Amino acid sequence: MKKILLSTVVWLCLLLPGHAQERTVSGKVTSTENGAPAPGVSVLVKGTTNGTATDVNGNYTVNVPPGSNTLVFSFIGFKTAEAEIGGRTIVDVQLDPDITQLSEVVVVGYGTQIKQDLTGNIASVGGREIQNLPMPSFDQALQGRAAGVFIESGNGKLGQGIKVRVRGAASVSASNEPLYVVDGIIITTDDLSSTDAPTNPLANINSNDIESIQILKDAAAASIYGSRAANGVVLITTKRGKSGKTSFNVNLMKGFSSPTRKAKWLDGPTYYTAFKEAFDNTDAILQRDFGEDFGSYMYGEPGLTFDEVLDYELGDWDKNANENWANLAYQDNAGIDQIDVSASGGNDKTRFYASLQHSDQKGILILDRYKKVSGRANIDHRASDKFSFGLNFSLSRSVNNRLSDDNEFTTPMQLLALPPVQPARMEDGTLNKNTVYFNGLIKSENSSFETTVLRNISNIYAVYQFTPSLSFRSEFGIDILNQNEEIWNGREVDSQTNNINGGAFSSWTNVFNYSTNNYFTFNKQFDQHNLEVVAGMSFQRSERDQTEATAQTFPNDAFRRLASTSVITDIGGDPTDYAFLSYFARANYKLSNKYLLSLSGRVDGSSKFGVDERYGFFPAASLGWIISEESFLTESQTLSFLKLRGSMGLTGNAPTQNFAPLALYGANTYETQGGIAPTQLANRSLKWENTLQTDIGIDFGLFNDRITGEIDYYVKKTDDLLLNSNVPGTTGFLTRFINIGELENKGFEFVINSQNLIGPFSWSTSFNFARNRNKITNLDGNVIEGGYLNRAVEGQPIGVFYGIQYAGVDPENGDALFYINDPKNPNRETTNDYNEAFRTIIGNPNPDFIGGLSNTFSYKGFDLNFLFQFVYGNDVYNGGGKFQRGNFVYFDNALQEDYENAWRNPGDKTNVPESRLFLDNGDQESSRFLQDASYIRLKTLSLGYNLPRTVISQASLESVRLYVTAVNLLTFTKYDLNDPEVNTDYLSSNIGQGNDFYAAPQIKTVSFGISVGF
Amino acid sequence: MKNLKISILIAGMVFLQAACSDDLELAPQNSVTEEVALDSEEGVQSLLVGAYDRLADDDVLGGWIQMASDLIGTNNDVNWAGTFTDPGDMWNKNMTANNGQAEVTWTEAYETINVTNIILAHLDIVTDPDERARIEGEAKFIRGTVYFELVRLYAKDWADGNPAANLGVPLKLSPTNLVYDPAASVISRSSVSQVYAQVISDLTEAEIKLPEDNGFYATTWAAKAMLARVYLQQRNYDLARTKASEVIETGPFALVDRVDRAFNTDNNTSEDVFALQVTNQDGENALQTFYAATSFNGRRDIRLRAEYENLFAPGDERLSRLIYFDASERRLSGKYKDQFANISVIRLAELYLIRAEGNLLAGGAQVGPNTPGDDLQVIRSRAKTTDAPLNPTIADIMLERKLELGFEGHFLHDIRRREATITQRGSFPWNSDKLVLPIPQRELDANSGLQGQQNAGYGI
Repeated sequence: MKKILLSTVVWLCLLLPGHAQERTVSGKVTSTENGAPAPGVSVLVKGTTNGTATDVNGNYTVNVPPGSNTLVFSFIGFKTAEAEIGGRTIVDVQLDPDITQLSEVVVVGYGTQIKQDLTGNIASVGGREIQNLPMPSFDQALQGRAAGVFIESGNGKLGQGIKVRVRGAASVSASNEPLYVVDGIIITTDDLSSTDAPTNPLANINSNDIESIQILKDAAAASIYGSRAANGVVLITTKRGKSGKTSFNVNLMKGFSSPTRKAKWLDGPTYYTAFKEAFDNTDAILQRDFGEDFGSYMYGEPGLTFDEVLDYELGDWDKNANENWANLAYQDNAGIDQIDVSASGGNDKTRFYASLQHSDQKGILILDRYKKVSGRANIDHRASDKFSFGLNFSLSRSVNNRLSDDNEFTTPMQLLALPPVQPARMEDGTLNKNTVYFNGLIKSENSSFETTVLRNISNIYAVYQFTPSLSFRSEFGIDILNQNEEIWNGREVDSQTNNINGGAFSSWTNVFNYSTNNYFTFNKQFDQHNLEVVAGMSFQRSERDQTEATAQTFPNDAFRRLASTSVITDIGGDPTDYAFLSYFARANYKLSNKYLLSLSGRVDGSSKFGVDERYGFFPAASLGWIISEESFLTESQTLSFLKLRGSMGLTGNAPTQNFAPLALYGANTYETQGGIAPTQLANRSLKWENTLQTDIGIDFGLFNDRITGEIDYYVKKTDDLLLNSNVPGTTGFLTRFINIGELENKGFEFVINSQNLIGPFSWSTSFNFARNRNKITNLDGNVIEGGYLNRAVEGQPIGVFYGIQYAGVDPENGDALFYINDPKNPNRETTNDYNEAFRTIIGNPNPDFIGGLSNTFSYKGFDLNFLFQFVYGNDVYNGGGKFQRGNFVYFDNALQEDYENAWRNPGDKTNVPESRLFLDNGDQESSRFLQDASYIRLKTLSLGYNLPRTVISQASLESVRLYVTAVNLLTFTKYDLNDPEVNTDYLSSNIGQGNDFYAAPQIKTVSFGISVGF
Repeated sequence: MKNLKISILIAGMVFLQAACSDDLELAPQNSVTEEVALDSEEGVQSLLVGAYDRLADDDVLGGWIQMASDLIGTNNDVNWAGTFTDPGDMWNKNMTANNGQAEVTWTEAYETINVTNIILAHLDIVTDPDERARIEGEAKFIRGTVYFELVRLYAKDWADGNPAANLGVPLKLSPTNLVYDPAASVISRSSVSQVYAQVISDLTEAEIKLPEDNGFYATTWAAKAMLARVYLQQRNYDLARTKASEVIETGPFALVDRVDRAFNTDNNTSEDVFALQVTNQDGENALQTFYAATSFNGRRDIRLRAEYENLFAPGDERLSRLIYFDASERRLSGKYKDQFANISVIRLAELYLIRAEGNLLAGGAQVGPNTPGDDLQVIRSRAKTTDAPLNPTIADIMLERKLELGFEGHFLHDIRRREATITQRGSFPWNSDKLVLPIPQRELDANSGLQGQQNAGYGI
């Protein structure tokens, strides 16, 4: 049967040309961008149905019927070109890359779409934009490149968790991170860190393997991912081979890193003077108020001198010492070494892409390091016209040398707290063990903390094409994540670890996450109607196994692994599973290339939901109108493209916890006896959070699409919040999950891309700007706290800072003043009694707006690109302020500017209160330590030079590119501690935002590279 | 043929879905559901072990209840020199309703209470009457003890005004069903006298139901000793001395030969009437964490002042053996050096001092063979110090309590009982609002029953 069909088609093809006298035209199609042959370009004789496509070398041959004189060349990613044939029989054509990207193919959930037909909002970032950036993970590289996507690295430690918010935070207690999908497979993104500082499972993905990233932002785009799409969906597509000559690429890169910004701390002599002043001030106050001197009041020992107090409080110190502790946190050899090798190619039937990457990044902090080896093979095979299948295989291994959390004395950044009058090393070269706080350098020389991840994200797929319009695709994917965390602490660190003679910790985690997608795609054009339907099912299951052991007492420091310890002190681990079973469908209808309608829906069932609410339904509908296709606009010279679109739909957010609906008891121990105790209250009807999102957008193109843009306004309303709601502690519990409360995110996004200059010297600009307003509208009266002063409370954005408002310094006596802010008696009265003041909203960690501005220039072989990224209007609270810039209340080293600006004499007008050792005077938590942390950053700057073909072809090379790339080169901000992009790792949460606490500054890296293609 | 293929595919998908939907029924691996946890006698026994685990939590009697009392009640005895601000505010007497330590001690204490409430509601599962009595006695001992600590810290002293009118703490005596009932969880503070009545009722039942010998778990002696403490704080000197004397005279306890041997021990000593068990695999000794020198893995955040040292006569072994200096000459308490040592909650020495105080102040016939002077002498001779006065005054007894029981959580309660004034970090009379812990703000926010019931001095 099939044979008969085939031969019929062949016969038809052969017969058709015989009807008239025709001529044959052939030629070669190349790209103006690099002169490379353009395979797969559709070649159509204008006004006829005659057409063909170019072969792998860009060659074509087409029969031209009489009366036709024009060929139309079109290909996705290139501008459509027309060529007059005239009398020629060979017509060679060069195609310009399509800078407008309106015809770009965009990956959507379970399929692809042409960008101009989209009715949803999707931000796309090309793999090229994030290639060869010296950063450990691709999500960091997206910063400033996608409108409405807020990305924040908590600090400059490598491999740490990254905060990503797509159109604001949609949840209070459940996750606010988007769903990540790699080549159609939902990957594991759980934080698997055994410490309070989250790690980033995305860091294992080689960003040079990424072809494109799509961020599904509105319901029209995302609701096909149902109960996990409320925070947006990030679709990652890896590179695939193109048929044609096999091309190889080798890339070598070396980078040098340093901190972006460093605060200025007191040197030794100033430190001594400053604290002597604080001691004298306190002594005077005590004599006046209590008739006692410092020693008598503080220790019951009258007559103590300042030096004696230092002896007593500091340990080993030296008046002449001048240690720059803050600098000791950093390592000199910070930087990155990276090698990439890739090959891609194939023929009509089989295409492949293979790559290997080795990167070794040393962070700015001592011992911080992230090493990664990753390999990938993507293979596509067309077995027949109807059946094709393929395989994506990736394997990566990373080793991350990690550091203590920000709140531990042993983390390098806490070194800055140590007094410069205490030397780091004694005269014999050994580390000073008798410092006021633990000398963290001891830890750096007597411990290790290594996290090794072996990860395999792979899938196989098969597509069967029943008819040209109906196909079925089946995918099976796995994400196997093996993690081993190994900690060794030598005996010198015992005081910080509570070990006796050293200790070790080992945690083994295995996450086996598998899923399958099976769906039909139907696509048909009937006259002016175009219909595409996708329908299918998906199942995902994740099984996590985990075992942890903590033990102590080694024979000596030469032994460092768990097996050599003598005493097991703790056994732990959290094995847990979840599963989702889903059905989804989508229909896209297009009428006359002008009117677009899309309907989608997903039914999600999950083990995470309560037995009474096992399945949820998430529909979305959207409309589009391509106005520029209307007759009244087709002739417009200015407006080349205009589309109006609107969508509305539901997305959900499933609980982070796998068994949140159940009443649970857990095991515990007393002495050596096993006990139990209740751990969780039940809620059988617990379900997902519901987000109803409305989006209205305009896509436009001006001047033949030299300028294109998007403007969107959205309202995201989330209800049935999965709230970890407070219950009275008198019940024996603290919280209970219930679906209660509402919040909303409203905002607009603006994107403009412009081709300012074209020709030999080209200049393009891309700008994005987004404003999001988050507001919790109902929390059932709950107040949920996080961070130092953050809280989730009705009527406010999530995570607002709630605390005492600092009112400056009393010029008469140097007392710190606070606004009373009595809610019952609102006025601007101040007090010097901290406890008399009431707390109020003092700041907001959420930015008012964010964005990025990117410019690309190219001239001959040179290209220059720079991206400025900005965050405006957010506040950061320095939780370390009470130590770093109290009022010289204790012996932590202090900021230079606070010493200079402290109140000293009646009448002094300053914001820094009088220094008083051991007496609170403005060191309490207050808005004094809150600062605007807006910033503009030169996020990336890259300059490249492609050697002329004439030069390299002699060496049989395809391309040679030399480049310099800088990340975080310049930062402009008023924030006066380290870097304004900060959130201390041990407190980071949905609510704990915008906190600094001995957090490392961001990493500035300048790297040099060479990329050779052959 | 095409239809056949599609049918096979669709059939395959349907089959797959049917197979998968069973996979949505997953069970946790590290926890069990309530029905499983409590369906047997073993479940109730395990829960009792769990109650001790909670009682020994560092925020309950694993250290912070004791340290809260000593940091607030220090009268030139200790300094707080740590970086944590919550204990610092206790020491400075400038706590706010958001004091984190006040919050976790409250919530952990009620978690302990809830475990005991669940046990008491499931006693009928236990078939053996002796076993049932023991379990009931232990649960009530724990519940009574925790309520006593709560009412001492979060409410006015028994004698400060009218205890029947003063607010105590909420009395939650029924288990929180794990299928949560919001209405049942809204409860208000009971009066100080209601809480004391509950404490005495629980401890008295525990005294009756508990065996004399019960390993390191609570015994009838522990209940009697705790009752002696409760009565003493109520100024019920007669019952206080009676209960104390019962333990001294009929209990199996004896003072250890050298005073420092009462501390830093892995097993209970002969003078431990009740101690919480800490091993290298379980339990937390927060006292050690905050008192010990860094050489013992401590934070040495609580440092002894010269005045405290000066209270001792030279040669007192409590000075020579229980006060030491670290590398920077910081004066520290030697009671807490071993991080895995048990935490002594009540030891025999305290009962001698309770009996002495009771006999001195109760009037009427002396209880027990010893005069107050004799009881004091027992303590002082063990410390190898100067003899006790023949007829000690109350000041002598209070001094002896400070010397013998220092840093064991008695400072604040002794100040209040003697209606003394603290003269460190300012001047604070015994009934100052600043000496009472705040009701945690989170509780006021989460429990409408506490509206308007915050302690004085902590705002709205």
